[in-house]
This record gives sequence, C-alpha cells and structure tokens, in this order.
Amino acid sequence: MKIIQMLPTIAYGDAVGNDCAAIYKILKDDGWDTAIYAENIDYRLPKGFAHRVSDMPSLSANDILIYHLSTGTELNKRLKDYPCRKVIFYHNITPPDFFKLYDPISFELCRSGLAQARAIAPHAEYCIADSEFNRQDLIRMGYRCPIDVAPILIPFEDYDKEPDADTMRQYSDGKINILFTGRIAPNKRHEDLIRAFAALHRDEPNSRLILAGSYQDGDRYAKRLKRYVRELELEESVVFTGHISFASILALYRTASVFWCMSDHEGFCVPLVEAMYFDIPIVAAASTAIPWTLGGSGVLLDEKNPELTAAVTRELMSDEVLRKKVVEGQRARLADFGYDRTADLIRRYLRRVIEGRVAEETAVDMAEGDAGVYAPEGSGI
Amino acid sequence: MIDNQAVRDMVSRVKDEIARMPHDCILDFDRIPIQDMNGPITVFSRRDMKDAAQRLMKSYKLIPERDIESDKPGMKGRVITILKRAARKSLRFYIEPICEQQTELNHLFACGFRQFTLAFTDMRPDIAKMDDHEDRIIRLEKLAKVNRARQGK
Repeated sequence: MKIIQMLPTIAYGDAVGNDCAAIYKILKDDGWDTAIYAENIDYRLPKGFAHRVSDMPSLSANDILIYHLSTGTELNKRLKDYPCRKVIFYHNITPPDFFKLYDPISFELCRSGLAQARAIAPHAEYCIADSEFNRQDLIRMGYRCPIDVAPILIPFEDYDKEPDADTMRQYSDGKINILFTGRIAPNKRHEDLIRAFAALHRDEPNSRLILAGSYQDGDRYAKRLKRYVRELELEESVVFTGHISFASILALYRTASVFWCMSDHEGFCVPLVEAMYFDIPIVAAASTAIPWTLGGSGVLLDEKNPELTAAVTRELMSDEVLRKKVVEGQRARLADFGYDRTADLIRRYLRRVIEGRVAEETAVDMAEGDAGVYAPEGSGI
Repeated sequence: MIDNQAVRDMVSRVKDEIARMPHDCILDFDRIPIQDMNGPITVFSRRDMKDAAQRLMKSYKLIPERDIESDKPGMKGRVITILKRAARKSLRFYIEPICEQQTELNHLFACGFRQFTLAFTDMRPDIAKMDDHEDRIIRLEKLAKVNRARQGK
C-alpha cells in the first residue's frame, strides 16, 4: 500500500510545507511506502524531497492519497479522479471577499478554492483540520466524513537558531516594540493594528509598530496601508519590513515587547504560537481560529476598539505581575503544540485511516469529548 | 486549564475606564482611497492640504516696509541704508495700496482654500467610493474586451 501526499505548491519553511515534511517523516519512520507530489516545488527544498504530480505512479483502490487543501487549483478538480482512498488535510481557504477590492487573482483563487472544496466533500473518506474552526468550516462546506483536529506541526528547534545581529541592534534601542508577523493581506486587518497603534503612540511616543510580512510591489492593500500611516503621521513609528530573512524574524521576536493580532480570518495563526514560544504577551481580537489557538491564554479582546487595545497594552507594559501571568498562561498553552505531541496525534489519526478504523474511533472520541483535546477552556468552541 | 481571571478582570476594568474617557477621533481606514492597479491616482493628501492651508493663513499678509541694511562696511554702509530707507518711505504712497490689495486677495484665497480643504476632507469617503466604482468599471471593461476577443468579435 502506498501513502502519497499531494499539494499544489510545496514551499520552503511555510506552515503547509512543514506539515507535509513532518507527515512524510512519520510515515517513513513507520515503514510506509510514501512520497510527496506537488505541481510547484520550491527550489530551496532538498533535491528529491518532492516530485512533480505528473510523475506520480498510478494508485490503486487500496492506496491512500493525503491531500493538503488550502487554495483554488486544478488539482482540486482532479482529486476525485484518483481511484484511491482520500484523506484531506484542511489548512483553510480565506473567504474571497477580503481580496475583492485589492487583488483579483487571490480573489479568484479563494473563490474557486471554496467552490472546489465543496465539490471534494463527497469524495473524502476522512479529514484532519488544523483547528476546531477549520473543522467547523469543513462541516459548513458539507463534509460528512469523520473529521479530527490536529494543530500544525511547528519545528520549534528552528526558533533557537541565531537571530540576525543587525536587526537585534536596530530594534534594541529602548523603544516599545509592538510586533505582528504575517504577510500583508486584507484578512489580517493591518489597518486595525495601525489604528490601535495610533491610540497607543499618542500616550507612548516611545513605541514602534513592526509589521513583519511580505508584499508584492504595487500591492494595492499595502499602498493603502502606507497612505493610512502617512495620514496618521506615524511614518517614523510604523515599520513595514517587507520580505525578511528567518534570522531577522527571530530577531524581531526576541526584541518584541507585545505581540498584536487583529486578523479577521485565520485558520490557525502560527505567529501566535511563535509569540508564545518567545514569551511575548499577546493581545488579540477574537475571531475565527484565534480563540482556539490561544486556548484561554494571552489577552483575548471581544471588540476591536483601538483605545481598548492600547490601554490593555499599556497595562501589560506597566504591570509586571500581570505580564508574568499572561506569559505563564501562554507557556501552558504552548505545551499543547509540542512537536512530539502533535506528531503522535497525527500518527494516531493516520493509523486509524490505514487500519480502516476511522468511523468507529472518531465517534468514540467525540462521545468522550476527546475530539476537543485542544479545545481551549472558555473559548466558546 | 489556564487561569486568566486576572486578565479578564484587567480587561473589564480597562473597558470601564476608557468608556468614561473622552478620546481623539482616529482617522478611519475606510477614508483612505484605494489606488488604481495601473498606477497611483493623484489624490491630495488630507495632511498636505491641511499644512498648505495653515501656511497660507500665516503668510498671506504682505508688509510694505522691512528692516533695511547695507552690506557695505563703515560710513559708506550707513549712508546707503539712510538713502534706501528714504527711498522706501517716499515710495510708500505707491507700494502700500498694492500690498493691501494683494493681501486682501491672498486672504480671500487662503480662506477659500481652507474651506475647500475642510469640504474635501468631508468628501473623502465619497471620493474613495468613486475610486472603487471607477476601478470596477475598468475591470469590467477589460473583461468585456477579453470576452469579445474570445468570441472573435
């Protein structure tokens, strides 16, 4: 029996790519005949790590195809034609309306992605979602197969690497560094971060907002954000880093005072877990998967009031005891995302599929409340 | 289980505090116009316009007399200064009405520009909407062109 992973694009160091690599290792360690196939393969990945979809061997009814679903692509349409068992790893597809005003290509990819995801539903034997929010998303899209939740596998040892010395120096200047990491995209609501920062900066002029994330030249959303920063007269205090090296990102985490997240749509939000790892107190607005990922830790706000975000941040900066409590809570939550723990969970789930025990065991888990092993207390999920 | 009662208490207290406090209005992101994909639309910055209006209000007044000095040293310089002052005073009957007239004109312009700036600021959400509509029309036109080409028309 072959167990094949397939995805449209495998990129070096991104969340889906990391997940894919970790699952490959789990399957390989367990002695399965496994491989990764993608349409686009990042040139930075080791040669032979992933193969072209066009080179994929023919599959039989016994084989398992693990498909990573995260965007609109022709592969989604072809998935039903593979004559094998299909397992979907769902990493979420952003609702297209976020891109309507800014990016017609992303709009179309997300629009078609959601339509294709709905069409795949009857063909999936089993799904694993990154978060409870993603599980609910699948159910909303008509998935009636058993669905389990396993967080994204995060290789934490990478975060102990040496941070970029220049970036460390640049941001260790005594200023309060408010950090958000994530590509510049409308669903991340950078404008809400900037707006909250305007409120904070009014009373804390020695503060700086660092928006670490890549964007394309001519990106309309990025242009509009920069204009917003100019209008608020915050050019000196808001930094758009653009694409930066991993070592620089490590330096930004190491010099950050508080991590903010005001996203309107996240399927998991890896940066929250990264902030937990670096003991940076998190202030986040409750939306989509964010309450689940925080799991009762950090400071979760139920409204996006810039004055509230600023005032809460000032409290965290001035009250050492409170700050410590928040960080301790985050450390406790971080333990839930431990690599080995998550890898064991995924291994357990995959064995169910391989041994054909999915339906019974997922039903038992649900009955015992175990499907929510990662469900946070008081998150309402 | 993560005990974050202290955090919940803090957030609740801060909410009460900010509800009682007056706050500056922070410019809304929706008031920032969207730029065209094919290049930036020239839209005046609200801040630039406000700055220009303030500068105009400060400098609209023309002054017919200024301190007159000469860069020549000694007695020669002092004589030149006296002669210049005398010439300026003797021409005051001619220059002053021109300055007053120009000042009045400048003042009218400065006030008008200030009014325009305020009105423009109020109109910005509508302008942003118009930009969006224009953008959609451009995209629809492009789409129609592609469709026509596909149909071989």
